[in-house]
Amino acid sequence: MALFLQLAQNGAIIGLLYGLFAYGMSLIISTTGVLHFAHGFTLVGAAYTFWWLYQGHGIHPVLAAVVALAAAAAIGVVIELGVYRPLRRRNAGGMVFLVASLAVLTLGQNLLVLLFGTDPKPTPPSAFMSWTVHAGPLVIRTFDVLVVAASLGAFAGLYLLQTRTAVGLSFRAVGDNPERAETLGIRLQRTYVWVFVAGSVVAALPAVLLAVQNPVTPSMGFDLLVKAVIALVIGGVGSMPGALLGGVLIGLVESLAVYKLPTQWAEFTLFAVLFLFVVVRPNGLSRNALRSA
Amino acid sequence: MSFYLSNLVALLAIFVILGMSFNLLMGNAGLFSIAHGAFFGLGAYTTGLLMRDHGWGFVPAVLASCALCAVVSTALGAAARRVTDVYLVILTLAFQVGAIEVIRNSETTGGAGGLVGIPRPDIFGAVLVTPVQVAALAVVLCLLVAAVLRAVVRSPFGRTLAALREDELAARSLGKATPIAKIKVFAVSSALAGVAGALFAVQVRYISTADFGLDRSIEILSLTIIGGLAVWWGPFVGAAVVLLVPEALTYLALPDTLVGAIKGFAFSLLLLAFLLFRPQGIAGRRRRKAGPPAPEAAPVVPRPREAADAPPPPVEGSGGRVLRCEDVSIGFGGLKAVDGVTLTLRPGSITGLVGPNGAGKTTLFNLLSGLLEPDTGRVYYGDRDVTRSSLDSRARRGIVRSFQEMRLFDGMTVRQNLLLSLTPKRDERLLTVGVLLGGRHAAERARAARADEMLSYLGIAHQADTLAGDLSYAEQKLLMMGRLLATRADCYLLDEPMSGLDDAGRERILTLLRDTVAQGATICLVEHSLDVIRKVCSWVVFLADGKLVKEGPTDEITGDRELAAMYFGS
Repeated sequence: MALFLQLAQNGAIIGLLYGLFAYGMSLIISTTGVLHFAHGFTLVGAAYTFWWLYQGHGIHPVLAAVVALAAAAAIGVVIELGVYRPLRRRNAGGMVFLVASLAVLTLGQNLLVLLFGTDPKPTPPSAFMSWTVHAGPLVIRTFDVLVVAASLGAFAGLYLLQTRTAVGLSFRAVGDNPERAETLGIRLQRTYVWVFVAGSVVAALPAVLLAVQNPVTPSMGFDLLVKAVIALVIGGVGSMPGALLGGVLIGLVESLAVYKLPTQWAEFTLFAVLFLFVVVRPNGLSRNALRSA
Repeated sequence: MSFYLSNLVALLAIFVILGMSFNLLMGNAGLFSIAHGAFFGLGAYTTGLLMRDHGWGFVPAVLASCALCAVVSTALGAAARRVTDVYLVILTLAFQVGAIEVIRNSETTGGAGGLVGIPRPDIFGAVLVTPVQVAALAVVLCLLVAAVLRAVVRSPFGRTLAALREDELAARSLGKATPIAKIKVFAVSSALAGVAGALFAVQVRYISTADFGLDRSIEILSLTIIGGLAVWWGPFVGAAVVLLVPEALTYLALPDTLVGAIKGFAFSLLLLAFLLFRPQGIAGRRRRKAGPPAPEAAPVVPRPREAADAPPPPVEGSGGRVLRCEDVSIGFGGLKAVDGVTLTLRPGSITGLVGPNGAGKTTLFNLLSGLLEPDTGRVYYGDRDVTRSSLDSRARRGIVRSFQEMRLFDGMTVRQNLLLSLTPKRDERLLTVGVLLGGRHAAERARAARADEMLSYLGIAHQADTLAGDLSYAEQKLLMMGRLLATRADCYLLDEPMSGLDDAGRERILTLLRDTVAQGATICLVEHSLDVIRKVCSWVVFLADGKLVKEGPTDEITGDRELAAMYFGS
């Protein structure tokens, strides 16, 4: 039982982290209609930036994290301007965006291997991160607290952004009907840039959290991407609460699958759950905003 | 040296099969799968295990690999059939990761160490010993696959795939069962990846999951796009590039880990560069590739003018079937777009559907044609309740519609646009004689002749080989009408078929409508011009705010002052 609870706790925490990564993809797909696979590279890019500054150059971790946030935003904007905007101008089909996005991800991932090698890059252990507290059978670590705070905080922040600010409202207007939004004076290209800034900055949070907890690897972006994409489908593509819910659900499935099954079946269990959802409830747990692409 | 060359040739053949099968999916049908690497692996492991551990011969093992990949991909395709194509991408992504993980950790497959000691291939017991023989086997299989795929692409089935890529909704509105076509093309593509895998297993005789990961999927994707989408010989070029670049790298004596990363980096970069700067690939032409070529029409004996100008032959089996709806309603959010409409369309007459903007005319068409399902109420066609039948199945029963925007298959020629409508569902099956003969059989030739006849009836015969997207606006409208009439449906729902046309263009369409109705067909059109309504409609239905306000003979409705005030907004 204690093991089960511990697994459930781990699952929930890692699920919140998946959700945190999925928010940006959710925001980007609901505004631009692009399933942003390259978001995985935004995450690794931010994680390597953090590791390089913190471990490599002894920069204070908080400062390094801030730079990582900026790096993530920059990566997102470069992808929008360098890849998506030219494709949009050419009126390319939805599949072309997907393929290009995937190509950006593998390009970036391989570039990091060429620059830093495939070996995992740990960050120095710190007293701050090794704090724990026991609550009954559960052990709560700093990491757990940070993930819960970051995930729920980012969720609230993005909710406020989309309901209370002009730029956030323009995201929704453009997502709903780009032509009409444009006639209302919303500048499309600028809105797209801002949505990539907002979505990408959020990806730096799981990047930094993972970097302080586990060693950084070039493939971590792809691994997280697969989870996030499944979370999006389960939660309902384009829905922010769906991303959170879907993330937690697959975190739990992945973690609890190991309770009964051999560990190698974890990934396949996720595929099976996804398959089931697509068959039975393709719109996910909540409203679906995925336009045909 | 001959050992080295044979290996290279065999690998090249295997990669061409991978590229061709992927090109069928992506280039011809416009679908995208991330699991091509996994299906390649599934085929390799199936053949490897069956031959090594169960004593199977190569031929049955290939067939088994092929079948397994087909079954698994059919399941994936069927699961994603009701949702957008993005779901297939997501499912294949998860499958790629999950399947490879399972193979890597399973004991039967040799786990992370890989599968060693795969026997040499045999042809019904005759073992191929030398690398040259194995290479010959690969080349023969590759050419066989190439020939079959060429026939598939040029068959009526291939034409349906092209329509699916161009505009899926339009294809469905003409009665094409696109969800089934998608499942089929995905299954064929994945099964051929399995064949490539089987060849790979007996060629290298030692396989591991590293050969079939995401990198492999990207490599196949790259070679397909580099070679050129929908270009038959594109994969030959693409495979050569993708295989020769790493061969060149081996001369640089780089460490193994770096070679993988350099390959991955180079292919991703090439892929991205091609997508951005040369989307048609190396082999593709600058302009958009037209769909499969139409067969030569049988020589037509010159006919007297009247014959050439004859309207389409009488509609078969209309049998006076009546399209009607009873108390249908549908709402979007808080808005009731159609609210309790009961309507009967009379065969042999043209009904005009009029009303102010936002009255729900197009939405009513969507309900009648099957694009939308009503919240309440029923739709009947004759005695049959068609409320729940889809857009394409209603089109096959004889109810077709046009869209406000024309939705022609712009990248296909005018003749192909018509041929698509002229081909019944039974001739579009994957395994018909049409596939084997590449579309050059008698029925197809008769259809081509029929298409040319229709084109001269429409007055655009001189444009038969022009791409639909290059026609003038008026010609496009004519082609749109011709495409509908060629389905030989009984019931036509036309959404503003004459908008934007000048008087001459309008007259030509009006003539088409009159001819068609004279054959006993049912026509209902949404139209803003009361002039047009007066000219052709015998019955007019007035909608406002989603409700049927009044219906009656044309004069009565168009003369009604109250309705006129409502229409022009008083």
